[in-house]
Amino acid sequence: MKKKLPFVVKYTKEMSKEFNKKLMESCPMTDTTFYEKWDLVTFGTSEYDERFKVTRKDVEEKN
Amino acid sequence: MMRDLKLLERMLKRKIRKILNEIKFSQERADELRDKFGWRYVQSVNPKSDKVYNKLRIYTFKTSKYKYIVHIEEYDYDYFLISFFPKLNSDFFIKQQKLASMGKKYYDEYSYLTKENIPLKILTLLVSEMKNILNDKPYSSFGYFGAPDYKMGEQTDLFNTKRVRIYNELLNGEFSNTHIVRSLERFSGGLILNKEVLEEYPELETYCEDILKSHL
Repeated sequence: MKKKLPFVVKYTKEMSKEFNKKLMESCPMTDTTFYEKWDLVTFGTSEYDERFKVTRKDVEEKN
Repeated sequence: MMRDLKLLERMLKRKIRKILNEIKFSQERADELRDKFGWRYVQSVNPKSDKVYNKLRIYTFKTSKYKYIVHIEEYDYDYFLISFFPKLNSDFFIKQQKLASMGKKYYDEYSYLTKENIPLKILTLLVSEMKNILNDKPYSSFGYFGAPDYKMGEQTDLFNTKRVRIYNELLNGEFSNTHIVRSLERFSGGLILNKEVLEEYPELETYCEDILKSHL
């Protein structure tokens, strides 16, 4: 049986859209696609390992 | 020559693996660090009009060089956003403002490198506090953000640092039974989401992400 959670999450897609719209207005980004590229990955997955890998190229570019 | 390099590479990989295995939380160590650094709760404050959080808890601790401030912002659905930074004097901020206005590399209190080499010690203190919160509110989720290495005035500077990968190792090791750790490689931060809440309400992730994004 599922445990009863102490709250109900009432955050909708519309609320998120509104939140992000206000955020963009208050802090305009030169790269307008910045938030679209926001894509978190879960620790321990192969995707995480791949994306968090540091390559020689990364280090050279950083230097 | 090539053989020597490969051997060296293998040795380094083994050493890194060993270090990663050593990254584990210990409450005993956390208690020791709390005493050593004088970790203390300062106060809880209500939000200013431009803030979204419900409450801000402020903690502090001291090393031999700096005083650090820890902010734990409390949001709806038992979501807590954690950040820390050294307390810096006003000269520092004036200098950084000048650098920023010239389009040069500059730092803020989050990206300033204290060179104290204590991020794991700080993280141990933070995990200890997260566990305190979980004792009180077991369905809590967390967000955290570290720091980009430096800033250049645009969002492209927000690349991931080595630090965040180490943070994630420790966080996952401690919370993987009840939480999932999600991160973005371009940004030194992530989410530690309660699995049960997420299963019932997948929209929690969007909520936590949106709040985290607003701190970029």
